[in-house]
Amino acid sequence: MSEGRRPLLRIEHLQVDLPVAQEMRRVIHDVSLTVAPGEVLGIVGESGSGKSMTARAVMSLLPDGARVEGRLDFDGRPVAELDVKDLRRYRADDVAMIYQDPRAHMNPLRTIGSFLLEGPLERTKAKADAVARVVKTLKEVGIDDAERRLHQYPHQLSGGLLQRVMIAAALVAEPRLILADEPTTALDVTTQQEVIAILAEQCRDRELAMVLITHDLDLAAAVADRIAVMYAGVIVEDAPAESLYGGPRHPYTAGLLASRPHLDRAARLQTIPGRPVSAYEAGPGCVFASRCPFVEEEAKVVRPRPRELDGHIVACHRAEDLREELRTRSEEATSA
Amino acid sequence: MSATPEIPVAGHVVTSRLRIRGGDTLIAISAAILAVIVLVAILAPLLAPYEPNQTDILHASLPPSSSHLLGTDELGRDIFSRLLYGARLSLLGPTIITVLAVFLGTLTAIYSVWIGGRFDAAVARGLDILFAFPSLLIAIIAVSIFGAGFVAPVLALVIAYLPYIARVVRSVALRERNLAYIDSCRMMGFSGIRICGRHILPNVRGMIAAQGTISFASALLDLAALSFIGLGPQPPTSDWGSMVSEGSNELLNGAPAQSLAASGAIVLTVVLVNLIGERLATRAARVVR
Amino acid sequence: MTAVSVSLSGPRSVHLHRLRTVAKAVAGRLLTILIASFVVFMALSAAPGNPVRLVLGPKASPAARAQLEHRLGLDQPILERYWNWLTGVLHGDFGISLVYKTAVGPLIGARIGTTLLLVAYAAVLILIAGLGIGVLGGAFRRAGAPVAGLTGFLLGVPSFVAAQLLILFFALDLGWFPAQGAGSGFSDQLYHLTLPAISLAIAFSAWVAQVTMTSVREERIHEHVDTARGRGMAAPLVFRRHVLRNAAVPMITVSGLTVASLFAGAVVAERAFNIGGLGSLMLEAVSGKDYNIVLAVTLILITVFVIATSVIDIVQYLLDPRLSKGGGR
Repeated sequence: MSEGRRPLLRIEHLQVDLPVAQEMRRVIHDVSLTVAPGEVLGIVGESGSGKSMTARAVMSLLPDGARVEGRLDFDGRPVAELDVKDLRRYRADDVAMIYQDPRAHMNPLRTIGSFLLEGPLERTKAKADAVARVVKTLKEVGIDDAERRLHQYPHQLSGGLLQRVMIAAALVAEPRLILADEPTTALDVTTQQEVIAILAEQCRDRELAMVLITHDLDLAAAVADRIAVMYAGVIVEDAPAESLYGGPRHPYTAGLLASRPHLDRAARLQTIPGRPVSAYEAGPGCVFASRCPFVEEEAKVVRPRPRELDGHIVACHRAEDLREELRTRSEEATSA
Repeated sequence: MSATPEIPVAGHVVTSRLRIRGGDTLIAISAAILAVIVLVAILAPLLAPYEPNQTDILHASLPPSSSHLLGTDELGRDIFSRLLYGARLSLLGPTIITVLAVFLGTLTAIYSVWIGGRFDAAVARGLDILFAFPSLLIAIIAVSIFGAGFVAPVLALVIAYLPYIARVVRSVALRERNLAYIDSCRMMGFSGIRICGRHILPNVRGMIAAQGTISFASALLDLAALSFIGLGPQPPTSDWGSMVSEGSNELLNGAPAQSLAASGAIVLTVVLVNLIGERLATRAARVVR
Repeated sequence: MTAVSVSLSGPRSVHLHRLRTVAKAVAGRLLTILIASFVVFMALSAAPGNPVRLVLGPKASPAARAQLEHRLGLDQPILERYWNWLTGVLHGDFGISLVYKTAVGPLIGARIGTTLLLVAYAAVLILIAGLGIGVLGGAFRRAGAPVAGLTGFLLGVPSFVAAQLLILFFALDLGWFPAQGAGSGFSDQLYHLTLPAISLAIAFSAWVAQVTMTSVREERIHEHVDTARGRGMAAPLVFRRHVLRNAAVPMITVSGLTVASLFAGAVVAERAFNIGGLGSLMLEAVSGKDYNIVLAVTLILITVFVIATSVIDIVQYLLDPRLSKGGGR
């Protein structure tokens, strides 16, 4: 974490409830994060962990009827207190989001050009300028015949191309923070690598901060400066990428690392027993208690508070004790 | 198309959270009221205080009273009794139409899809042509050929509504037919009827029920409209539609009872049937998903 | 409107292909009208009852009958009669009315104006009320249930029932509008046709409103709407551009079907309000077994329906680029 610079994004004790079938369900228990300008934060978690909702909370785009508590500041200003006009400006200029399924997130009846120019033309009347900027950005994300593409429709482009268009749309807005919600999950593996590479490169070149949301720990480790691991609406571990990848301090992180298939040798696939739970399904104690191999009585009743350990922020009662244990396990897992 | 519109099954059904909560009670109440209406129609001879066509000029155009619940019409006939008796034809017609249209429509669709090829294409084309005819028009043509009454409009509307049922069944049957498991059934030597009965029909049941119910409501409206314009059962027999027509003169003369009573009966029945039909449609759509 | 508009430039082969598809569809529709007219012609010709008998009465001599039959062309084989009728129609000759003893064409011409005015009037009311209420019900979450309830009820109010109520309240009680008749002269006709138009509009508006509302609600929850909001666009603009525009196809479809069905529905309204339009002409023809009129009006109604559905298809084709432009990455 960069000291001394004011964090671009500061989330403190975020709590989100969503209305589902006549009742309110907790999707985020307690999330605290910071993102410094130009920093890439990876949020890693399985489905139901609440990672997408966190991004939506940052955009203030939660579903109707959602209840939010906690602090969410962008550049020192609380997002919740923005009035309608300021909120629009915030969404247009400061943050931009890239979604998982580009095809679903683009209007099928409008051209790519229309999609890309929607944002810029809100801000300026100089159409020719905007078009030039859009074309330039398209080329930067690797779409060479940009002018032709402007007149095409989404159904005429492949998923990979569409995602690049989505990235271009985010970049054209010249935001300070990009939220990428599983940007490569819907793509095939080769395209995944290309798209992620473009995204990372652009963020570096433009000194943008990025929050990369993914279920793929390897992906996050390759791109992010810092990784926050999320489970059942709680951040269980938050550490610099290399440190977390090499030495997890939380049983869940260790489990995730261990459960990746080995490409180099034939070995039984390790799994974390049970299935991932959502925030509202978790019991009173530690959210991971039901699946943790190191669980003790205390964890079942008392929710562990995040605390600092070796430069990591961990939410585990037994973090100190398990240090050694987890280190040996992860060495076995990552030894090539 | 009927004079009042046919409601397509899928894709328009309106759901809202408020509805669903009280929904089931609403449906139960609707069904109960409908059952009462049907019962009343069946038991009309027992329940009606007077003969529906018994004229009594001396007591014409009387307002509602204890002896004549809804008053009398211009010819002195008891409106309440006419309403009860009128229910019989007004409900019988749509029932016949719905049953026949569903039966023939389903048969046509499944048979056509089963045979496939050019026969199926021809049938599809035929259905398309039928769709181009507003249902009221078909009935009017039928009446001009066979004369007014009960039979011609009913048969005509069977033909008019057949394509709607057939289209619904066809789309499901086409989808099912192309699924692999049908081929494996064929390979195992199952007869066509068995495959259709066991595998295709159950999937289509819900949608047929929904479309059939909605067709019932439309048929009721269409038949009433036809009676209103004079092409339905001829006097002295009358159903609700003719009552509205006969009552309209009286209405102009200041005695709206017959017209309003029959109108109310029509609207009530149609609304209740539509409520149930929509619920069936939601349920059918959910199954498909 | 659109920042980058639909590109009309493209390889010529794409244009030809598109023209061919449209031409094929139009031809198909014409064939439908043809077949339909043939079927109806056959059905009417096969009808029991002899029109000659009706006109001359049962006491006419065989010679007189034969003469009339020949004049009416009833002694020709049926296919030839159909052909004659068809060619006649294409020249604007719809035959002779047995009841009125004049050409059918002018008869229809005299009456069709009133019906057209009635239908147009009703259509305007329906589109404004139906689309308006539907959009409002779709746009505002809380409006959904009341709109659904109201439209569900109104769907069960056919035009002849509405007519009774309208006449009772607005004509007899309040005296704001005439209870019967079509009036003469444009503004007088408009005045007379107001209640009839409203009576037709009630159930149709409910239908249009329901379809519109469902369509708008479905579009509102599509993800691309979120994307637009997330980019800081104003809510009304997002609604117009991404919800309404996408919901347009079902709205147009139901509007087109409504207009097509209104002609048939006009028959009932004309009877209820004693209006001398095409509908009442049709009814007179039915009771008088005047088949030429029945045929002619049938042809008109079917043609209107087919034109309406064709227009809907064309509009759909134009609005949805996925239909006109195939894949082509």
